[in-house]
Parts: sequence; structure tokens; C-alpha cells
Amino acid sequence: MNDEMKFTNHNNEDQEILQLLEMLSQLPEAPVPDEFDLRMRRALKEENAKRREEAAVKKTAVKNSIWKKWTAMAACLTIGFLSFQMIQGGVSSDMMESAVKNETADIGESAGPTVAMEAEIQKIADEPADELPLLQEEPVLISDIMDGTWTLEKSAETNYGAGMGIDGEMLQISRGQAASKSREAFMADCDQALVLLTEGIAEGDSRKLAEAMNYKNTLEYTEEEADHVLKLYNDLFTEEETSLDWKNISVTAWSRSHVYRLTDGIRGLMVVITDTPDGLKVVEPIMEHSEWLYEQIGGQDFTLVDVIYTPETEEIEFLVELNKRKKKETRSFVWKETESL
Amino acid sequence: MSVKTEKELIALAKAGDERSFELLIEQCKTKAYNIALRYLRNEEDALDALQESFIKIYRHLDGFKEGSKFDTWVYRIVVNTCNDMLRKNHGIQMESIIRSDEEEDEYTLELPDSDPGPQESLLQKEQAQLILEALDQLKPDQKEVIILRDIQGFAYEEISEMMNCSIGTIKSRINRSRSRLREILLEQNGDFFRLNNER
Repeated sequence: MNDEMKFTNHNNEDQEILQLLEMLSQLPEAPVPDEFDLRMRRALKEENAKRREEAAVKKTAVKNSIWKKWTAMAACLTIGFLSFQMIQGGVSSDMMESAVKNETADIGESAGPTVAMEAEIQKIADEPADELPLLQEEPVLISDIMDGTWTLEKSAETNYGAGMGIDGEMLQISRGQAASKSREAFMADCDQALVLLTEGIAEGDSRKLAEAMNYKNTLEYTEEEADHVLKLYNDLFTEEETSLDWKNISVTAWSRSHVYRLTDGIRGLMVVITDTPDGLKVVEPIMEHSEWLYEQIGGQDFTLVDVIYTPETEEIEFLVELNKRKKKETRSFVWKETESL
Repeated sequence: MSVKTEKELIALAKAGDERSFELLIEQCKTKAYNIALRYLRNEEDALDALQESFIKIYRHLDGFKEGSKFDTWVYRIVVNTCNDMLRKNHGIQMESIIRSDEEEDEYTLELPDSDPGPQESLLQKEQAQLILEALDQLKPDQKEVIILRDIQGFAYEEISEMMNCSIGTIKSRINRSRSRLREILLEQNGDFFRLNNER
């Protein structure tokens, strides 16, 4: 009897499940709303735009890392070559001997020839420029270190390769023509110019920035020009509170041109400060080409996204996002040596 | 204009051709939408899940293995996206349960009429509504297999591929889910099957 009931129950359950399956299969299929196609098309377009943007960022990052690598390598070679030149030619063997003799007598034998040589180099650097050995006032050239034939003109190109523009006139600097009286005075001037520059950027103060650009020179940057430069810096250092720091990364042999790296910890700029007969010259690509860039963009609303320097072609690429009414458009403006400023 | 094969469309879509991708998903769009709709029980959420799934597919087309079936891959991604959405937003399910009667009527309007009389049509809608509500009370993995097998009609092999389980597991899970669904329907209305039989 029990078995019979169990069987009947089981049979009922199966029947009900079959019924359930029929009902489930009859649940009607809902059509996809018409609006979905349009929505999907828009999403695909956005996805494609995002892809393009990511590809561009990736490309820029690769370019930047190559540039950084070359700059670092160039700086190391410069320092190495400088030391070599000073030991081989700048400080003659006689001078070395007398320096070693004198200095070891002064500071004791334990100091050894290295300390003595450094002391001699320091002494030479402190001497009036007219008395410096000629070799010391010539700048060091990376390309020429490679091929062994360096010239003053090439020197400028090399410095430019470090990310800055330096005019030909700077190459005419000769002993005694520098604006700052001594090396210490020049370094103090560099510091002051950098303080003004970083404070100008951090505080968004174009007056201070103009002051940095005009610091101890005969140039006459207007506040309007400084305003343009400031906008470009602000675009680049996007943090709300920009805190900039600087580091001296290279010094030319005559010590009258210093290369600094200005950085907010994420992005960096190369700044060259040169002691020229016309005064202190602060050079940096954005500063130097800002007016040219504004001319190219022609009054459109824009944001500077990146600045890429290509040492091989000596081109400076300004990546700019044009803020058009409906969408943003990324454009690239390339400054070449042949461009008239 | 020549009709392109699925393989050609995939190759073009991989290269960034939006139109080819649209053509590619056209065939499986409705089924994918219905899976999402049964999972999430809300038209807007289902459309969101569908869009998110298609964008994921477009983004990862390079990862699609040539030997596999494209539509099965699509449904698998839709199922995963729905599960993710449910996990992220428990509120979706709750919302569908506590919807007002008015909204429920709106929802059942999606069901097409197979031309029965007005009274029978109303009964069918009520019945469908009860089943969908009972479905919501199943565990997620049980609900999943019922939607895929009994509502969408996928083969066991396809479901096992979509869910990364063996066919045996799928079969036993389907049996347990059906029994549980029957129990829930009877708990809600003891005469559910008898009334339906009488009609």
C-alpha cells in the first residue's frame, strides 16, 4: 500500500515537473529595445576613442623613457669626459706634480694625490678667467666624445639635446665676459632664478615668472608672455598644489652653464642657466617656444598634454588637446630647428 | 555587398571595425538580452549588462579561440557579467521583488499575446509572473541552469562550456533546481499545478 502511494506521489511529481518545463519553455522572448543599437554604437565609439588615447599615451611613455635614458647616458659621459680632460690636459703634469707636492705638504701625506688634484682644480676654478687653461673654457660634446671631433657649434647642439634651446651667441662667451663676477656669484644667481621660476609656477604668479625669465639679463619678457608660459606649465604640472624641486645635473667645463632638472616628482623639465655677456640666460623648451606654439594653435582653447624631445631629429613635439565644443581633439605640433621663432 | 563569414567579421572587428562587430553580435543579441533579463529581472539593468558584456567582448576579441563557438563565448560572458552585477549590487534582486503592482503589470506587458481570450491571457501572465518570482528564490547557480536550459533551451554541452562544469554536474544541478522550483511554486500556491491542469 505504502509503495503504491510512493509510486503515485513520484508519478505526480514527474507530471508536475513536466508541466513546469512546458511553462518555462513557453515564457515568451522579449525583444531588445530599439534604443539599444544606438546606445551600443555610442559605447563602441567611446571604446575606440579610449583605445586610441591609450595607444598614444603608451607611445609617449616609450618615447619619454628613451629620452630619459639618453639624457642620463649623455650626462654620465659628459662628467666622465670632463674628468678625463681635466686630468689629461687641463691640469698639466707639471701642475699636477707641484699641486701634489704643495697640497700634500699642506694637508698631510695621508690625503694623497687625489685630494691634491681636487684642490688644484678648485684653485683653477677660483682663479680669474683669463688665467684659465684654454681647454677648460670649451664645452663638452657628447657626439664628439663618440667620434672624437668636437666643435663649439656642436657643443650647442649637444646642450640642446639635453632638452634646452641655446642660441649661437652663448657660444661666443669668452673668459672675462660672463655677467656674474665669480663662480659662487653665478651659482647664487642660478639659485635665485630657480627660486623665482619654481615659485612663479607653484603660485601661478606670472609676474614672478617674468622676473625669473628676465633675471639679471637684458631680455624683456612681458607679463603677457609669462602668462602664456605659465598656462603651459600649469597644464603640464596638473597637481593642484605643485611643489617643484630642482637638481643640478650637469655643469659645463668653464662652469658658466648649468643644467637643472625641475621636477614635481612625476614630470620633469630641463632648464639651462647660462652666464652670458648679456646677463643670465634661463632657457627651457616651453619657455622658448611658447609664443610659437600659441601662434600655431591660433586662439583655440587647448591643454598642453606633453612635450617630447627627439634627440635624433632635434625636434620638439608639443602634444596638445584642443577643447572643441563637442569633443576633445589631440593634435601634435612639432618645432624643428628650421622653424623661425 | 558580399555576406561576410563569422571569421571575417571577427577579424575585421579585431582591427577596430565597429560595423563588423555590430553585425557579429546581431545574431546573438536577442538571446543574450533575454538571459540578462531573466537574471536581473529589470529591463534597464539587463540593457546595462548587455552593453557591458558586448564591450568586454569587443575589448577581448583577441582572446577568442578560433575553434570555439562565438555565440557560446558571448553567452558565457553575458552570464558572468550578470553574476558580477548581482554580486556588486544585491539591491537589484531586492528591487525586483519589492516592485509595486503597477510596475509588475508594466513588466508583464513584455510578454506577447499568443491570441488567447482576455481571461486566459491574464491567467498566463499571472502564471509567468509566479514562475519568475519563484525563480528568484532559487540559489544563483540553480537559477542559472534553469534559465539556460529550460527557458533559453541550450544543450547540456553548451551549458557545461558556459559554466565551466562537467555535463554530469550540470545534469544533476538541473534536476535539483527543477525539484526545488516545483516546491517553491507549491509553497506559494498549493493548487498551482492543479489549476493549470484544469485550464
